[in-house]
Amino acid sequence: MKYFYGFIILSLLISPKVFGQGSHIKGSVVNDETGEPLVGASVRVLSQTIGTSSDSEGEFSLQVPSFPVRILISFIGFKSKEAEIVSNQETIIIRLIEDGVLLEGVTISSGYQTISRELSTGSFVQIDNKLFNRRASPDVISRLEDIAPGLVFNRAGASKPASQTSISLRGQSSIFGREDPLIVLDNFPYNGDLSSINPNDIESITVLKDASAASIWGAQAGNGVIVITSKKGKKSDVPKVTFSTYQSITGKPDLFYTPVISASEYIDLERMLFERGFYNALQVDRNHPPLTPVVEILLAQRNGLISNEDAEGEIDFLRRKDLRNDLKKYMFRAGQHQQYAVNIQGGTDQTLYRLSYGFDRNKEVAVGDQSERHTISYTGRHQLLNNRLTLRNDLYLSISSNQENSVTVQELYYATGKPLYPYASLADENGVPSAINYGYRQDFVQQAMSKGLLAWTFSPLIEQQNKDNLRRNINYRINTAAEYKLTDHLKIEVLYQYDQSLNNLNNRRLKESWYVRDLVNRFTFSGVSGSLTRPVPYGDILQTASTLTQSQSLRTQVTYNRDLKSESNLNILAGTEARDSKTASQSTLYYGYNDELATSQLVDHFTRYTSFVNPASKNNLIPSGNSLSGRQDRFLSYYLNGVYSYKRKYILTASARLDQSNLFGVRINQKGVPLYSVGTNWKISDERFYKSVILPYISLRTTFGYSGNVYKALSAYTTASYASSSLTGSSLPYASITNPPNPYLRWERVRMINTAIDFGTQDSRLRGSIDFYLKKSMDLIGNAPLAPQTGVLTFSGNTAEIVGRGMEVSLTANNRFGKFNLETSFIYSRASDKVSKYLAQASNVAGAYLIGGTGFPTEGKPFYAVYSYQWAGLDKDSGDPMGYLEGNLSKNYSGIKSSTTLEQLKYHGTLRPLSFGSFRNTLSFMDFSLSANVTYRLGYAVRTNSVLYSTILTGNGGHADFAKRWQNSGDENITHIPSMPSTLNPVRDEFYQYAEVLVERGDHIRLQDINFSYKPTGNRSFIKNGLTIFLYANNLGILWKKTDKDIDPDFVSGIPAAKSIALGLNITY
Amino acid sequence: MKKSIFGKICVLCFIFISCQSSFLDVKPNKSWVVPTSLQDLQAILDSRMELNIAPGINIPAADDFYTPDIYIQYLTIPQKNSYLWKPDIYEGSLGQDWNLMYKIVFYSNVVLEGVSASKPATDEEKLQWLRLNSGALFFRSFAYYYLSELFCKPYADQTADTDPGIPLRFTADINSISQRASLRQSYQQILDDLTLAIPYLPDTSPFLSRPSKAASWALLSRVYLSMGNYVKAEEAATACLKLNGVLLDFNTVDITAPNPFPVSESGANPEIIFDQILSSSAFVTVSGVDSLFYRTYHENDLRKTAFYFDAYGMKMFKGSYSGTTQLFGGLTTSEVYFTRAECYARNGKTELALADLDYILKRRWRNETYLPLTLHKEEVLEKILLERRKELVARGIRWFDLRRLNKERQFSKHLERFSEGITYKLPANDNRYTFPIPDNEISSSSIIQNPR
Repeated sequence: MKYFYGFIILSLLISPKVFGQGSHIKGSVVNDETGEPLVGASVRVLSQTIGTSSDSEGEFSLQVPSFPVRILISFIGFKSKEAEIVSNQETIIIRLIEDGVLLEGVTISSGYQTISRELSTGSFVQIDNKLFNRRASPDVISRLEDIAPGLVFNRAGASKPASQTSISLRGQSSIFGREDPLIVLDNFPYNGDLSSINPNDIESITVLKDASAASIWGAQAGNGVIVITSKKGKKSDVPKVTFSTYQSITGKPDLFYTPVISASEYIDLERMLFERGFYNALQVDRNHPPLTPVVEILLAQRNGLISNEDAEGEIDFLRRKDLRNDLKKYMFRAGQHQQYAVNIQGGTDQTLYRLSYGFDRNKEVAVGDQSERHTISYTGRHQLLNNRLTLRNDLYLSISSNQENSVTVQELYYATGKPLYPYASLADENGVPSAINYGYRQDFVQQAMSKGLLAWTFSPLIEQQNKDNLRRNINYRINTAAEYKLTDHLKIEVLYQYDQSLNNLNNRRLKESWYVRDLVNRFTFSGVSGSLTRPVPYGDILQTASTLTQSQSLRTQVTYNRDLKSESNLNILAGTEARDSKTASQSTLYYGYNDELATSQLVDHFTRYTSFVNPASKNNLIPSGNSLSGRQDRFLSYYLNGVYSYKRKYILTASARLDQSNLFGVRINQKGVPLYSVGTNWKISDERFYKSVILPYISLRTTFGYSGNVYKALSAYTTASYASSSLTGSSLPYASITNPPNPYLRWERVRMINTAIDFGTQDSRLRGSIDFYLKKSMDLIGNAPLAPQTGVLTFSGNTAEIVGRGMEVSLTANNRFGKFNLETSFIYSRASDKVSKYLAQASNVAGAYLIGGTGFPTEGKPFYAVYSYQWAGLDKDSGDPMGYLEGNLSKNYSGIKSSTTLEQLKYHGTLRPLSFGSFRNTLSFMDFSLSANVTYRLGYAVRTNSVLYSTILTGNGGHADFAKRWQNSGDENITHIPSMPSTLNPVRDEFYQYAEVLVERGDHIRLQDINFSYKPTGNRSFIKNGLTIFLYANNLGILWKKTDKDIDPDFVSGIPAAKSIALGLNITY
Repeated sequence: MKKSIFGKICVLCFIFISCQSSFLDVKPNKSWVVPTSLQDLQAILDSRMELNIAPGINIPAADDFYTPDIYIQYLTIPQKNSYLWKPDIYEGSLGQDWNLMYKIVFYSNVVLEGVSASKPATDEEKLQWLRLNSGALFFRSFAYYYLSELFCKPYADQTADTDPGIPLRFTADINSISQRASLRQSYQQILDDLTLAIPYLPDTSPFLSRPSKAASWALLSRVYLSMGNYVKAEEAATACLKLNGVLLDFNTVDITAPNPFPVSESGANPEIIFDQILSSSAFVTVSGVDSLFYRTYHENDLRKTAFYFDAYGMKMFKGSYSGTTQLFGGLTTSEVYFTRAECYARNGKTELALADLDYILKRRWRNETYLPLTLHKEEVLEKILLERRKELVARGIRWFDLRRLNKERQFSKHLERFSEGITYKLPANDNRYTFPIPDNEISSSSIIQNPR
C-alpha cells in the first residue's frame, strides 16, 4: 500500500492558491432542446485570444480582463452564439440550438476524459441513452447487440470462461488470451459480475474500436474497449423523480426444434437390438445398469413372465407417448421478468445528487430457476473553493440471488451417456409424479431396498423439490474523485475506486434427493450380523463455495487545456494509474448437514470402500470437495495523451502509455510494454475550397497505433503447481511442472491502422461514417513444437501472429413525410482475420480440424476455419457413405481419417460471420413511434447435425434424419443420409458427421425486435416531464436464410432463443 | 508557478516509480511455485503421474497376447502397428513412450539443477539434499534404461561403441538438443548414475513411488542382465534381496477376486519394490493371453486363476499386480528372484538356482501341491526362463527378454501372428526389435533414425 502515500503527499503538495477574483466568469453550455450539457464547446472572448472549452459537465470558467465582455460560444452541430457578460456575479447558462448538421454522439467518454467528438481522431461508437433503452433487458451488455458497428455477439466458437463476454470487436486478436473487449465502468476496468449492473443507472456507452481510441487503455485494449458511464445528477430546481418499469414474458423453449426419432421408431430399434442380443451383456453387467421399460417388457416376455398380448399392449401404449410434451408441461414455463427502478435527482450549482433503487425479479423458463436483484446507487458532486475543487462520491450496491433448482436435461440421462427414453412419463394422467427407470435396474433396486437400503427410485418432478441451490452475489463499488483547477487551463484529478464482489454458492442437496440417496447406498455395506453401515451419513449434502474479488485503483491525472494563438487549442493529459485486483476462492463439502442446526458430520475420505452396487469395485473414496485458490493481478501504468487542434479543422492526437504488470518471473524491464498511437482528423468541409452543397460536412480521420493483450497464465521461470493429492491415491503432496522456463516472455501487441470519413448532408438528412482498418496482432502466445527429447512437446511463447482487416459503415437517414418521420439506421460491419504465423502443426488432422471442431490455428486461414471431408455420395449397393482416399473413391473410413491431409479437406470459410449488421427503421407519427430492427449475419458456415448410428445402435435414439436414410438402391439419388450399418462403426459415423454434406451456409437475415412506444405531449406535469409507454418484442424470427435446412444457423445444437414480449412504462415527476 | 506544479508532478511520478518494483513482484497465482526449496523439489519428484511410468508400446509387440480381428479397431495406430510389427509405428502420430520417458528426464534434470543451486544448511537438510539428488539420478537412469531397451539395438559388447544409443541429456534447458550417444555410453551413464545414487538412498522406502537402495539394486540387476553381465546382475540381485526379499504367498490372497492383489499405495503388496504404471493399458483390455502359453500353467498353479479370467471368449489378463485399474510395470521382489535364479544357473550355481525357483513356485502353487524340482543342469535355465515369463505377464518385460534371449540360439524365437487374413513374421534379431524414433523427434533434432 506504499503507493497510497502518493495520495497523501499529493494532497499536501496542492496548497490553495489565491486567484484574481475580479475578472472571472463561469458558466455552462447546454443543448437547448434536451438540456444535456455540451462537452468541449469552444468559449472565447471576442477580439481576443483568450478562450477555453467546456468540461465534462459542460461547464467552463475563464479569466477576462474587464467587464463587460462579449464571448462567443460555438460547438459543432450547433449554431454559434454570442453573449455579453456584465459581471461575475452569477453562473451563466448558454443554450445552443442544433443547426441541422448533427453528428451522432456529440461527446464521447474514453474513461479518462470526456471529449468532443469533433476533437477526436479515433473510431468511437456512442450509444446514447435513447438507443440504449430501446431494448428491454435486465442486463447492460445485451442491449449493445446489433446496434454498434464492428461489435458482434458470437454464437459459435471456443467456449470461454464465464468471466468473459461473448462479444468480439473487429475480429480475433488473440489465440489463448481474452477475445472480448475490456469493460470499463465509470473510469475503471470492471472485473465484477456484469449482471449486477442495473441498466437504469447507465447513461451511455462508448465503444472504442481503433488504436487511437483504445490505446489510452494500453495493454488491455487489444480487443477494443467498452466504456460504460453511469447516470449522474442533473441540475434542477425541484427534485425530479423518475419511475420506470417493464414486465416481460418469454415463451417456453421450442423442445421440438431439434428433430429426433419418434417413440415408435425408438421402440422398433430397441426391439431390433433386443433380438440381436444387444442387451444381454447389460443384463449381467455387475454395475446393474438400468434398462428401458420396453427392454424390460421384452425380457419379461422372453422369460414367459407376461403374455405376448400383454407385452404388445404395453408397448403399443408407450409408442404413443412423447416425453417432450411432459417436459414442456412440467419442466418449463413462460419466463417472466419484472423490472422496477426509481430515482430521484436534482441539485444546485454546488451540489448535485442522484439516488436510485432498482428491483428485478426473474422467473426463468426452467421450473425451479428464479433470480432477484436489488441495486442501490448514490452519486453526488460537490463544488467547493469557488468551484475550483470538485468532489465526487459514488456508491453502488447490488445484491442478487439466483435460485437454480431446475432439473436439467443432462440430469435426466437415465444412465451415463444415455438420454432419457422418449416414451418416459414424468407424471400420470392425474399429475402425480411418476418414477422413471434410472441409475440401476429395477430388480436390483427392489432387492437393495428389501435389504434395507434407502429408496433408490428417481422421479424427476420430485427431484425438483429436493434441491436448494442458491447463488448470492453482493457487489459494491465506491468511486471517489477530487478535481482541482489549479488555473483555468490546468487541473489535477485524483480518482480512487474500490470494488468488492462476493459470490456465494450454497448448493444443498436434500437428503430426499436422488444424489444423496444414491451416494449413501453405494457406500453402504453390511456387517457380520447383517446390520447396515453407512459411511456416508444419511443427511443433506451441502456444497458451499465463495469467491471474493477485491479491486482497488488509484489514478492521478493532470489535464492541461488551453486555447493558443491563431485559433488553436492544446489539450494534454498525463497521469499514472495503479491497480490491484485480488481473488480468493474456497469451497467446502459438508456431509450429514442439518439445515436447522447448521451442523454436519465428518466422513472418512481415506478409507477405500467396496461399492454396494458392484462388489468388484473396491477402491471407492467418499468424494471430497474442498479447495482453495488465490490470484492477484497488479498493473501500474503511465500515460500521456495530447490533442492539438487548429481552427477545429486540423486535429492531431497522440498518446503514449507504459503498462507494467506482475507477469510472473519476468524481469522488470520486460514486465512493461510501451504502446503509442497517433491520429489526424481533417475537416475537409471547413476548407475554403470545399463548396459541396450535398455534403456540407465531411471529415477524414486516420489513426495508427498499438494496443496490447495480457496473458498471465505463463511465467518466465520454471514453475510448478502443487495439486491436492487425494486423486492420485498417494498421500504425498506433489507438484507438476506447469511451465518450462521462458525468459523471453512478453505481452501480446495489436497494431491497427484505421482510416475513416464522417459525413453529413444538409439538415442531417443523411449522416454517417465509413471506417476501414488493418490490424496485425503480434507476439501472440502460441504453441511451437519442441524436440520431444527436451521433455516438453510444445512450448507456449510469443510466436504467433494474426492479421485482420475490415470495414464498418454506419448510415442514418432522416426523412420527413408530412407528420411522419422515418429514421433509418444502417450498420454494416465486416471483420476478417487470418492466422499469419503459427509454428505448431497438427499431428492429427482429423482431431485438430474436425472433431471438436475449431481453434487449431493454421497459417493462411481464419482462426475459426471450418473444414470437412470430401463427399463422394452414398454407395449404390450398400448406402455406405463414400469419401476419397489418396484420390480414389473409398469406404475405408479409418484410412481416410488417418491419411487425409489438411489440403485434402474441404474448406468452408469461417465459423463466425464475416459480415454482420443491422437495418433499423423508426417511424414516428405524432406521439407514437414504431421501430423495427432487422439484423443480418453473412459469410459463414455451420456444421449441422444428422443421424449418428453410434447412438441409434446403442439404443439411445438419435436424429430424425434416420427416417430419411438410404434403404434401397436408388435412394442414393435422393438422400445423403447413410444406411444403417449392421454393426457399430464409429469411424463411419465420424466420416459422415464431418462430411461436406452436413456443412451449411449460415447466412441469414432476422427480424430481431420491434419497439412500439407512445410518448404523449401535453401540459400536465407528469406528461411534460416525460412519460413513455412502450411495447417491445424480441427474437421475432428469421426472414431469410441461405440454407434449405430447417435450422436456425445461429443455434445448430441448442434451442433458439424464444420470443419475448415486454410492456414498459417510464414516468418522471 | 507553472514550474513548481510540474516539479510537484515529477515528485509524484518519482514516488510511483520508486515503489513499483515491490508492487509488481506479487505472484499472480498462489499455487504457482518456482521450485527452489528442497521441499518443492521433493514435491516434483513425487509426481507419480509423471515419474512413475513404464512404457507400454512393447506389450503388443511381444508374444504373450493376441488381439482378435474384431477388436483390432480399438487399438491406437501405434499399438496396432506394434502388434503387427509394421516398419512404421507412428504414421505421424506421437511417440507416447519416447515423450513420457524424456519428460521423466526433464523432471529429473529440473530437480538435479534445483538441488545443485541450493546450499543445505543443516545436517538434516544435507541428508535430504543427497537423497533428492540420488532420487533424481535414479529416475533419470530408469528412463534411460527404458529408452535404450525400446529405441536401441540389444546390447552387445562387441558393437556397443558403434551402435547408436540414446540422446543423453544433462540439462533442463529446452533449447539444448543432444545427439545420440553410443550404446556403451548410454548404458555406462545408467550404471554410473545408479552407482552414484545408491549410497544416499534409504534401504527401503515407505512410499513405493520413491526410490530406495533396494529399488536401485533391482534396477541395476535388470540393466546388467540386459547387458549379459550375469556376475554383476547376480550381485545386484542379491544386494536387493538382502534389503527386501519378501514374497507374497498366493495362497493368502483371494485369487478368484477381480483384482486379487492389494493396492500398492497402502503398501499391502509386499512384493513391490518400486511402483510404476504402464503408459497404456488399452491393448490388454481387448486382447487375450496366447492359448499355448496359457496351457503351460499347471492346474495347481494359482497364477492361472489369479492372473486370468474368462471374457469375450478369451482368457484375459485380470489387470494389475498392484490392485489398481492401471497395469503395473515396476520392480518386484519376484522379478529379482527370477533374475538371480537365472544368473545362478548361468554362472554354474545350479543348486542355488533351483533353490530360488522352488522358493518362488512354492508360493505360487496351491498349498501342499508343489514338489521341489529335480532337473538336469541343462533344463534348469529353460525352466527358469519359462517360469519367469509366466510370472511377469503384461509388465513389458517379455519384450526385453525376447530381445536379449534371441542372441542365444537355443532360446531365440521366430514369432508369427495371423491377423485379418495376413500372416506377419518377426524373425529373431530382426531390425524391428528396435522401435523407430518418433517422427517429430527426427524432424526437430535430426538425430539418427533406426533402420526397420
